[in-house]
Amino acid sequence: MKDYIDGLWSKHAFLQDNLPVGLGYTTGILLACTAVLLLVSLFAGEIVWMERRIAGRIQARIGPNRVGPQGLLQFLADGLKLMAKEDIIPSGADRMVFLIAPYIVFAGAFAAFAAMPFGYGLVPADMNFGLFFMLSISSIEVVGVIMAGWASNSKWSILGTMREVAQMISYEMPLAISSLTVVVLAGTLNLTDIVQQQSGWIWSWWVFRSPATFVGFFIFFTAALAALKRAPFDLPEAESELVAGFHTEYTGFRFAIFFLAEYAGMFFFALLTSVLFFGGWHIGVPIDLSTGFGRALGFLVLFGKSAAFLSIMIWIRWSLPRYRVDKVMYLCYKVLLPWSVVAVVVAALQVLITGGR
Amino acid sequence: MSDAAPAARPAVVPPVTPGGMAAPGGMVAPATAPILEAADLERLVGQSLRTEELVINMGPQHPSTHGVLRVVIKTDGEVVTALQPHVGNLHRCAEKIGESLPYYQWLPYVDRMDYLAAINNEHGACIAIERLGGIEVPERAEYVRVILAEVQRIISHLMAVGVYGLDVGAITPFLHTFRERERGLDLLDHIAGGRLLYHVIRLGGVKRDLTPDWIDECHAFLEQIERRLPEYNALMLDNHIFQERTCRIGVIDRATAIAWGVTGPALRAAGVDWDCRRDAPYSIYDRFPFDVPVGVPGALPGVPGDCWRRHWVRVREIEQSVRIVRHALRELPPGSVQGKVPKTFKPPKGEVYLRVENPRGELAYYVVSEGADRPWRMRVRGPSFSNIAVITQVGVGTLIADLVALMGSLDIVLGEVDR
Amino acid sequence: MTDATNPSAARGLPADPAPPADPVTALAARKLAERFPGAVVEQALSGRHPYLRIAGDRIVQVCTFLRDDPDLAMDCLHLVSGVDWPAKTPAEGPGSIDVVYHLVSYATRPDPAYRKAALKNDGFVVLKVRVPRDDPEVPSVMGVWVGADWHERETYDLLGVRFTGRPPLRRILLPEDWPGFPLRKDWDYPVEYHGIPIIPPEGR
Repeated sequence: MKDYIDGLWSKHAFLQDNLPVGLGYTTGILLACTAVLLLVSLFAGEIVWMERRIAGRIQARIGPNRVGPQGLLQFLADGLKLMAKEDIIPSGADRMVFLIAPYIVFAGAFAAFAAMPFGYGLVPADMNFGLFFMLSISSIEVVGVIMAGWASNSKWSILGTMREVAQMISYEMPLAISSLTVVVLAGTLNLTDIVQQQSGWIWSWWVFRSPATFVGFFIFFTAALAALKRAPFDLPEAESELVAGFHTEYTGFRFAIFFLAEYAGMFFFALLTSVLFFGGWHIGVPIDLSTGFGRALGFLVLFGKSAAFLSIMIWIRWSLPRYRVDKVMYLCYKVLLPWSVVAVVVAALQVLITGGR
Repeated sequence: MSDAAPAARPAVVPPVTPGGMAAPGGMVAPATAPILEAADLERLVGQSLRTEELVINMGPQHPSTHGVLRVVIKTDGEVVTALQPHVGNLHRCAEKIGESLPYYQWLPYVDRMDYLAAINNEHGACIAIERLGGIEVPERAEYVRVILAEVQRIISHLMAVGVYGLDVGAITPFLHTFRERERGLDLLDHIAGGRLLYHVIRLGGVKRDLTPDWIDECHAFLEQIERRLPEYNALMLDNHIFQERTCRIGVIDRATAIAWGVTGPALRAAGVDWDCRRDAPYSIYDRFPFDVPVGVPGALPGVPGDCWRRHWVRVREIEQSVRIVRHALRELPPGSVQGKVPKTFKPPKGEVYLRVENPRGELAYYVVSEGADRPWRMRVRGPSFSNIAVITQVGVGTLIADLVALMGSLDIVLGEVDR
Repeated sequence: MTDATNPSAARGLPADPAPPADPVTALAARKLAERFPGAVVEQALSGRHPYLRIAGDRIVQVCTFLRDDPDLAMDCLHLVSGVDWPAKTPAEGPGSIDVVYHLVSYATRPDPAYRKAALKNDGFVVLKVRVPRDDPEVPSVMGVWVGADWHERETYDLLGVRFTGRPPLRRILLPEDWPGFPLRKDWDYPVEYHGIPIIPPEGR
């Protein structure tokens, strides 16, 4: 984008004379951020719709279909409702921490999209260490969760939050290590390059190119479900029947922020799975996607793949019972973590044996 | 904490100001022990790593709703060290009211006790009072009563099975079983006028007769149940995560169950081969052959007496109830459905104790009559009363999540705990 | 030891042919007569509601025996109830409360022939203990069957019967500070409870 702004400045003398190029950069950044924010929020809202409709069909009922065509505008109605609710702050709560916590979770969830490619050349910030950036920034959510639990001023809320946090950070390990299988084979952390290496036929997608990435995909997806605290790993939240989870004390708009952050996280991992393992915006046939039409097609293909993964996440949530919390930790440390390490080692061996990439 | 008189022993560590130092665990050294020695310090440090025992209240309002049950739990971390259920929030003085109302006027109160299996309650109450007063019930009425009771058993077990999935986290089977349950409730609504509380089984017979339409609907309902049961099993009984949550959890073994008076599916899952309908038959149950699922060690997952086994017993009982209803519909004799009951019903002096097999256990009525038109004492034994008492023993040592699974598997209804 | 079900004999007429005795109760009565003479103060073996009336201080021994005996094997206490029998005239004394125990066996099963019998008592053994109404105390059988705990608490709660030799009795269905024992025949409604006025039902 910097090049584009520079190009703009050099082409139009009016701009060159009156406005510093830094203003151009800033405006460009702000526009890009706003675009990402709006896009992701819109899609998070539609994921809510998807979840509720799919859940409805699984449960022999319809789901929301009144607000807007097929109920697609339901999230607007929900948002309005949540904004109209009374804003309650518990009396003993640490006020500053209580107010900031939702925004930190939101920031962690949304800032990670900065390096996410939405199509060929459609990256807000094409970083060489994009994957690393995204996984680290999304860990900021953990801080927000701890703050939210602390600020609720309830002994049991803290303990429930600690359990959730333990689950979130434990599962970041197999998540990161299994994504390393792709990185080792691709030789780069840059997501655009990772996707470009999957151009061509469908068997060039990373998930099919190596047993390491094949296993890595399943570990990655499971760890993503657990890091998102979605069923079957949502016992810390469900046990908020008995023990308060971190967002129990939040009402109205602040709760909406947490809610949005969760679905943005789902969208994030669905996109990441498609980008890392399933070819990103390539359709499995080697055609050139750098034209305008090609970019649009790529964009749609990428979103189609994410929608498929989101459907799978939703399907899993509404079909399976919950794991007990000790089994959740067992699964992470004794099953997923060792296997992800093995997968990385196999990937490295593959690179060694095939001699280069 | 430190109870030794410090002055008698030499100080090994520097003295601490009286009433001062707060230990890492948050405990304050008592003001009377200003000098700490090595042993005390060791104990302090050791204690600071100890987890506190916390008391939680699983309050009367409960999302895993079994009614207004309050359980006070003392936990050490995740493990329950003691628990005490507090019942009585739904006490509605049914027994006292029973002493002041004529028998037939008291019968509607019986529905409200186990409100999820109201027909079975009515069935038991009517048989008990009829035995006391020597009322004859015509053949057709007996058959209709059995049909309604078994349909009610299917409905109640569908609820138990679905809601148990909800307790364990499987949200979807709940809605599927309720879809089936709706058809069953429509059946009972058709004949009794109500979906939850009926007052259709009266002294001497049944209020309304079955119509040919109803019988066809009933057959369709039974077929739908049979078709759907394998689906529920796939989602729950055969599901690996469900088995992890319920196998070997909350084991109530045979001796414990009998000593606490646990009855019903929990007793059968523990390995006791007893069903009142087969072994102590009332009404005309001795005419219907059916199997009784019993939890024995074998090829099934888990151990006898665990939550999984209780769930399995209930699913099998649904199948057997379908069998009984089909048999009864086939052999339904013609006739009237109301026997002769005197206008003022005054049973002779005496008493009766009758137990019936409810979906939740053995419901029993102890009626004492002094020859008046109202009973001298009307005592009801609700099976959930004994079933919930057992968690005082079995719940100790479980994790909190397992406690929820245990209470769900016992399938209690507070209406008959408290009456 | 009186046989309460032979009214003709009580009137001095030639006794009616004895109706068949309930096998399980008869067996229990015979064994108890051998083992604990004097424990059974009254029995009704035949008729529609057989029972054994046990002396209050022997109830724990009797129950332990009935549970452990291999033929009877009454391993389940089905129900403990209380029935209030106030005196009809002041001359009769304070009146009594019957504590009724219903015992059943899961280990043994009544044979099919017995099941067909008219009595249909299902193999229950009914024990009754009479306690005076002004000082109702019975030894607790919680040591014999753990499940007696809650039933005894309920009998205490509603009728005021105190069970001794067990962890302290607490009310179970009613609030801890409820006045009186409601299922007694002479219990009257309190005027108010914690400021909530109580209006008794009319016309009873």
